[in-house]
Amino acid sequence: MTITPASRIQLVPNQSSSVLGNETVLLNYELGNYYELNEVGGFIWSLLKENETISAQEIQDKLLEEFDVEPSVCWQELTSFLDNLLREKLVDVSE
Amino acid sequence: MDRIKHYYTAYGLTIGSEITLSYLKEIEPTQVDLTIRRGHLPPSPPWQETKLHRAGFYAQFAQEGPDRMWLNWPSLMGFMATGGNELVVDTRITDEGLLSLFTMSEAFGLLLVQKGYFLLHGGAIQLNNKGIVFVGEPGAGKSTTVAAFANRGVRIMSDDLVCIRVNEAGKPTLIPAFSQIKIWEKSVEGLQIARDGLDQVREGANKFSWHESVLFEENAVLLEQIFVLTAVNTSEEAISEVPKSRSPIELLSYFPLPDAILQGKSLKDHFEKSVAIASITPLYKLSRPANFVKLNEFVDYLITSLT
Repeated sequence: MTITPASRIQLVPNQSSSVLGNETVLLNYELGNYYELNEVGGFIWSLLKENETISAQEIQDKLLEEFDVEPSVCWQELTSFLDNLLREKLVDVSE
Repeated sequence: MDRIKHYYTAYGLTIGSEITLSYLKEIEPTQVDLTIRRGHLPPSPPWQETKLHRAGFYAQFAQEGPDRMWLNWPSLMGFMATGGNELVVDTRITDEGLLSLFTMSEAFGLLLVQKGYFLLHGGAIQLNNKGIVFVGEPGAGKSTTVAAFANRGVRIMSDDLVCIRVNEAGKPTLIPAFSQIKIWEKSVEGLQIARDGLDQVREGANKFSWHESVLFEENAVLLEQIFVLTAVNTSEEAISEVPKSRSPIELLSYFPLPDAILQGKSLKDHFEKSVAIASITPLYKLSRPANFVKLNEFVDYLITSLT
């Protein structure tokens, strides 16, 4: 699935996460997979936790407010990160 | 008709038991938190092999949800733990030492997990009212380290199964197990522990139980630090702190019971407790002191730094 600005992202229910130090640790407890997210990944994750669903465009806007980054670079990194979350079955994406 | 003959306390719980449990503290008959009975076990779901081994035997495990678990040591004895309050022992073995050894290790651990405690394979001591835990691979020197502290008059809290309660506010407390350290003859000699306080254990030749004369902390204390004992390493720093985000996964590898328990909601609970512990308790890697002189130096260092 290609992620577009209108894609709506939502966390799957079978995960648990927490912030430890500067990183976010998370576990998909149905699959038994454990992950660590860096500061930016943790920021995106916190947006997904706070909102039942959120569009990729809204995440992009918040990232541009928070971090000093070129919009095109930001979009590329964001979609690559969301693709990873999708592949690891940590999020669902709908149009 | 009640066949409960013995009353004990261990892990902060009162226990009524049909079998004698050597090394546990006997108490007056009372309302108990859990019972240990002899009996025939109902058929279990298919057995799963485990990595647990003890006295040369490997255990098999089965479960029907988190409240009903079986642990089988083929040709020795089988256990079934139910609801955190009953352990049934099925065996023809009458040797009290062997029965106690197998009952008060992983089998009892099943009840503790059912009760919601967080368990680690390791040893623990109390220093200045603070709980210090040592974990590590088998043979890393956990019991020897605990014995080295005990030999300096430090109170011990457990050897083998470390029991931690994480309260609703996420604060971890260390629960005292029972008064026993099991140590190899080499450590008895190296630490110059008085032989008259030791009994031979059935777990292996050259292994001794230090029970009567060891000082034991009977009250729960706050968990202060966890040390992971690693292989002897002379090139790097002896002590290094594990980054907080690595701690939960590090703690996971010292889960003392069959990995099959950690699935679905049980895995979620375990993960959330390990995160709660990692968020306030520092975890250090300690390269195992190379000899008994170095071990005693570490004991002195920790006693000085925490008192």
